[in-house]
Amino acid sequence: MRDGETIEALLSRVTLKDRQAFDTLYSHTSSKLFGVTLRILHDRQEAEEALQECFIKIWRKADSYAVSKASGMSWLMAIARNTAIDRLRKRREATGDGESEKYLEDERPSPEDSAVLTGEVNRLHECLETLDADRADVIRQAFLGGLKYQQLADMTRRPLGTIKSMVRRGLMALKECIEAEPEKAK
Amino acid sequence: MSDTTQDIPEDEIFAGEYALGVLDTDERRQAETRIESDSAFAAMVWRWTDYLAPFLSEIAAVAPSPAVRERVMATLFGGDDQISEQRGLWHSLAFWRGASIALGALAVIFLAVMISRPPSRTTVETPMLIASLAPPAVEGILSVRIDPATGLAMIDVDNLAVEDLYTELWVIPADGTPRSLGVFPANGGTISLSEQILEYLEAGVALAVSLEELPTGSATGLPSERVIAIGQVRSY
Repeated sequence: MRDGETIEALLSRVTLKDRQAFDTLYSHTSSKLFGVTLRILHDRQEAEEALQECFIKIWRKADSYAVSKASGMSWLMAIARNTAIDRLRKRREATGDGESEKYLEDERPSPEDSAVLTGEVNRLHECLETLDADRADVIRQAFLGGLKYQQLADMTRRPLGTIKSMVRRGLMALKECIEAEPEKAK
Repeated sequence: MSDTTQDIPEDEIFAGEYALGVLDTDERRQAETRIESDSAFAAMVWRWTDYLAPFLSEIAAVAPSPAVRERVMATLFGGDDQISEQRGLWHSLAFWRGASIALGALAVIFLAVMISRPPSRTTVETPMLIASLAPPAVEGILSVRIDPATGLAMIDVDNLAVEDLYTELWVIPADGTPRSLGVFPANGGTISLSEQILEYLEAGVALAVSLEELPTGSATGLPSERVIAIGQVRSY
C-alpha cells in the first residue's frame, strides 16, 4: 500500500536525521497519532502534550524503528500509545482510581481514516469476530482506552482474575487465528 | 494448539499484554527493560504490535493545534548544542547514504546503537555499547556489544545475507573519517579493539557495517560503497 511505503520511507530518512522527512512525517501522521493519544487521555491539552513528547521520541529513537521490524505505522502507533498510557497511569496514580473512565466515548473515524495507514489485510478484525464477544470487547476496550487490568475489571464489574484470564485467552486465540492460514481462519 | 493459556510461554503473554497496554507502570518498565536486552522478547512485542495495529482503523484522526508542531520543532531544532551534534552526524551520514547500496530491495540497512551505563559513577566511565541491526527488507539480525573494559566487540549475527563478501565494522567519529573496528565473521564473532579505536566510541558517533571483497577488509582504509548498516551511538 502506497501510504505504508511512504511512511516507512520517511522513517528511514528520519533515522538519518533528515529534518524535511521528519516534517513530512509529522504532516502525514500527526492527526492519526493525536487521535490515538486523545482517545486514551480524553483531554485535549494533555493529549497534545503527549503528541509532542511522542514526536520528540520519534526523532530521537528513529534508529530503533528498523530494529523493531514492525511496520512503520505500527511503530509510530506504539510510541504514541506508550506515551499516552504512561501519562494515563501517572495521572491515575496521582489522583487515585476514583475517577470514572469515559471509555465508551466512541468517535467513529471517517472512511478515509479507516482506509489509510493500517496497510495489510485486516486479519485482526476477521479474527476478533471468531472470539467470544465478551473477550473481543474487553480486548478492544483495553487497546483503544489504554486501560490496565484493574480498570477493565472495574469497568466490566468482573473480578480481576476473570479479566486477566479473558484477556490472556483472548490474546492467545487471536494470535492463533492471525497466524493461521487465511483459508483455515474463515 | 488450544484455547487455553497452559501451553503458551509466559513471555508470549507478557509481550502481548505489554503491546495491548494492560500492564501497570512497574510491569511496563519491566517489559521495556526486557525489550532493550532480549531481542527474542522484543520481536514478540513488535509482532503483537503489528497484529493489533488494525485497531487504528477504529480511531478517528483529529488535527492537533498548530502549536504542537511548533513546539516539537523548537524542542528538537531550537539551536541547542545537541542539535549541532546531530547536524554533524547528519553530514557524516549524508556521505554514507550517498555511498550506500541496495541489498535486496533496500538502499540502507540501519544500525541502532545504544550505550547502557553501569550504575557505578566512576570518573572514567566504561559504558557497554550495544548495537542492533535488523535489515527491514532482508532477513537477518545483527547485534554488537562493545565492552571497553575488555576491549572486545562481540557480534551476534542471525541469518544475515552478505553473499560472498566480508563484513567490516566502522566507527565514524566527529571528524567524519571512518575508522575500522575490524572484519568480523558473517555468522558472528569477536573483534579485539585497539586503544585508539576505543577512544572514538562514545555517544553521538556513528557506526556502520560495510561489505568488503577481501577477508582482511578494505584495502583502501575506507569502507567500500556497499554500506549495509548505519547507526548513531547514544546513551540511555
